[in-house]
Amino acid sequence: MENTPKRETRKSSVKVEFALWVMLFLGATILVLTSFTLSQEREALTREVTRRGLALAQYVATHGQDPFLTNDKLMLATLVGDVMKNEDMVYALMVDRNGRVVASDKSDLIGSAYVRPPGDYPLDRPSGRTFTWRHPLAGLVIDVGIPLILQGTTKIGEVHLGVSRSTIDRVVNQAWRQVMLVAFIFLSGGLLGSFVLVTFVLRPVSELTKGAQAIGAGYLNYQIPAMRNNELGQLAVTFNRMTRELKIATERALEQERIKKELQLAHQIQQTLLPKQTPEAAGFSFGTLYRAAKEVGGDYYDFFWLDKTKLGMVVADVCGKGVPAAMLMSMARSMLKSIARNYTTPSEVLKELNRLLSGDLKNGMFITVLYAVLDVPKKTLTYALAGHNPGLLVNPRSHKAKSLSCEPPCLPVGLDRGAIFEKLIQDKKITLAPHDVVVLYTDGVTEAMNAEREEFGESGLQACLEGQGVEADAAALIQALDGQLTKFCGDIPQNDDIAAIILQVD
Amino acid sequence: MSARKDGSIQVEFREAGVPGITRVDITGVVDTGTTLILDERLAVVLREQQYKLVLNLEKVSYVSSAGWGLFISLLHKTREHNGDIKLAAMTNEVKNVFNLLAFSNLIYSYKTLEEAVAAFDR
Repeated sequence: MENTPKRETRKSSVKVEFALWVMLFLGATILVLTSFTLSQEREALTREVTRRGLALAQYVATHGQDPFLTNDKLMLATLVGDVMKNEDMVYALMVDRNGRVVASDKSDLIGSAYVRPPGDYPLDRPSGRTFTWRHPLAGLVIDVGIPLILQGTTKIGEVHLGVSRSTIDRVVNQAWRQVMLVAFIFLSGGLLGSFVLVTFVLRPVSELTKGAQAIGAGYLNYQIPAMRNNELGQLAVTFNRMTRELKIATERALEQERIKKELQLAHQIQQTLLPKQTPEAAGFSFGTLYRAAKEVGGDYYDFFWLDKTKLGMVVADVCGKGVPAAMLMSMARSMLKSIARNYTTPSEVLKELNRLLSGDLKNGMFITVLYAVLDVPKKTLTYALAGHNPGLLVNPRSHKAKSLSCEPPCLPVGLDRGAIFEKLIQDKKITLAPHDVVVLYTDGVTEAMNAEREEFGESGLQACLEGQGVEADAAALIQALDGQLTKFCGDIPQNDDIAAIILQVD
Repeated sequence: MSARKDGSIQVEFREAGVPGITRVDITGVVDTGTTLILDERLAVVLREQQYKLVLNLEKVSYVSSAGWGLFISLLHKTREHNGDIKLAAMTNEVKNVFNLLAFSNLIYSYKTLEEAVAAFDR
């Protein structure tokens, strides 16, 4: 057999997988939405701050024009101071057209040359401009610049206000933190929810798993509890039905196995009780036939010497089949063998057997028996019949044929305690002639059936024996009978035991 | 050679026309297999305390030794309750085995149903 390596299987939980996917999906969604919203928010705030910066710069430009022209330092300082009161204002200054600082929130700068932020250039448009630069102390700053224009044409200086972006960043960062908190709450909730949901959805699956394990372990009475009427519920119903049917099938198989064992046992009992070989008697030859039916019945035959010259021969059929029949047959055989020498005639032996058995047999059980005694030197056959098929005498030479019946017939053994049986049982005696053939048999022979449901019958038996001629000995006759029965029945199964003894006079 | 029907059985119960007597119409074969069925059906009648039975064997082509065993057993069960069984209208095949077993010494049998039913009154 091929050796298949054991595959290592890592136990993975559907719950964990599902939760991870939910987390991933929720997380990605929150991230994308938040990024988009906050970037919009940042832009809007920037626009607002810029607009406010421009308004203030315009205010300075308008109100500072006269003091600028008259170099009224006090007015300019007041104006700058007013502007600086605004939150987020980093610097405020006015520069003349020569690039000198005229007014500033830092008084030490006044009169010095104006140093433009890196990347800035002199203002040309009257509407001014904004640009963002990194201030060495305040970080990112929006520089709002407006030119001072005299009478609409002459540029006389510039106003520069530095508005910090830190508020925007603070607001946006705070929004980020809040969103993250909400996202965390949502993700935790989602995780918990997915766990609960998956547990709820998977509960029937775990019930099914439990069921399958129970069945696997042989607990065929296990039934999965009722579930909701969805696909899994239907699966559970199917599963339970399967289990019930499996149980019935298993029990049936066991029962059949038990019956098979019992039949084997019955067969063994039967086989051990049949004589191993035919007797040897001067002037006679013997043959036996035994074919057990599939459902072993209780047929048997036996030979035993009563003394040096007298041979007892029995053919019997126990009613019923299987072990009870085999056991009864075994009991009857032993009894008959042990009492046979105590009596001189077959009828007396059967009377005693009936007395011994009738009290012990179950209601309705009985044995049909043909018991015969062959006196070898005298060539006589004495027999008694208890409910059994009569033997058949044929002679292939003289063509005489005779049914070895007893009239009136007697009951089988075991039914009546004695009164009727002992009145009816009687002995018959015949003297045998050369080439006479006597066959003692059970009803399995004559009731053997063919495909047309016809019985082999006594006529079939007689025709078979007469057809073999004078030369055939008992063994050859048995062989012929066996062959003809097989041919007659064809494929029809044998439903009763077949037992026969053939005795032939030389 | 005689022909015999397939191994199946039908059992019907009806009033025999006289109160307290049940007619059991059996059709088919009473062999090892069908005996079990017949036994189960008869057990129902016995539970109903019907102990006077006429078995109509008109349509029975074969009775095996197991079948005869069942009739004997039924005979004892009914007689325990002052009842009896009577066989009616046996076919020749069944009658031959009945005679071979000398069962006329144990069970009453009649040629017709009417005779069997009437026999209970005597």
